[in-house]
Amino acid sequence: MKNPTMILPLVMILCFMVGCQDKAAMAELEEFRAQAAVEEQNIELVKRYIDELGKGNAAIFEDLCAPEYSFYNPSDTPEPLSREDMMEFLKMIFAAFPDINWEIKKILAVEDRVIVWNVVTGTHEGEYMGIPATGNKVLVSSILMLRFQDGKIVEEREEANMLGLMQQLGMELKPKEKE
Amino acid sequence: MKKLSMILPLVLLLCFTFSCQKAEEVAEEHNVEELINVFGEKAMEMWNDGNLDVVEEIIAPEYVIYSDPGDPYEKQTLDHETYKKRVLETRTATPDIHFTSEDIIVKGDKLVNRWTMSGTNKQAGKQFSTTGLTIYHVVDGKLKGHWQNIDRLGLYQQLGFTLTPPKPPDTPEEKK
Repeated sequence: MKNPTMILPLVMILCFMVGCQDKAAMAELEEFRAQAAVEEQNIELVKRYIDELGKGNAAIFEDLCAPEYSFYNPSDTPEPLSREDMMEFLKMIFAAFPDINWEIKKILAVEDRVIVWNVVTGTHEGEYMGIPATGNKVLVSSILMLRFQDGKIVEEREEANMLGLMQQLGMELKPKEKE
Repeated sequence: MKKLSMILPLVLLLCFTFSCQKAEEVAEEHNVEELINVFGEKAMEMWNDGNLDVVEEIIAPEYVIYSDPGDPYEKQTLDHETYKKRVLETRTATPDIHFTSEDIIVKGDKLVNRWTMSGTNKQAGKQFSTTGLTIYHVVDGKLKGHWQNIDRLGLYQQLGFTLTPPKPPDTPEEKK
């Protein structure tokens, strides 16, 4: 008869102790879960970003990118493009490749970053970087690393097969002529 | 009285479950850290110092280059011997090659490395510095393959190459 009344407080003390130790653990677990939710959200934002660009909607930059957004291609260029530069640049891209499409093949998110492996396709129907329209169909791979801050994209770094693109547009790589 | 003997195990089970979940998350984070450290150290040893013994440690027996435009081994599956050959070829072309990681992140079975590569290309006799982004496929702590893009255009331009438009057909060559 006495046993239950003794066991109950002991059990409560045990749970309390375990519960207290795990308060820190519980907090950490909550943090992990919150982070996973943000990562999922960032992936959805990047999917929307790429989808809208594929529709020729450069205005999506104002929606999803912070005013201080910087675009780096190559990934460490000393001269990144601003958000406004990018919108201008994209106008040229859309004119050069009206059917341009970015297909996401792989996407993953870690903390404030999203990584994408893309395949970019299009038909060269307008001047691109001084190269007059060739009508060629192009296909190049691209890897993106985007960084989020307060729900907006603040940084985008790209490495793409630019050499391949130029070659698909008919350009040839030649050693410089010796003087 | 019987209620307690039912409640007690349930309560203990509950406490145990919470502790277990936390342990799993912590274990995963340690694996990520370990992988980043191993990669940062061993992969650099392999590429920067030419220590090919590291290959058995960190590269899976079959390594697939899923996508790497411009790489001579693109789309191939490499065994250790071929993988070592690829490292040697790169280091022979640029004996003082040096890779630096700017950013390494890990999620699930992917390790992403944003990096810089510099050195002196022997054939061109020119120094270069270029960048790349690589997504590695990781299984059981070993690298099993990659998707990669390198700024090869920038690299070739530094080695003295230029992009020239194709000669239009039926046009006589211009004399300088």
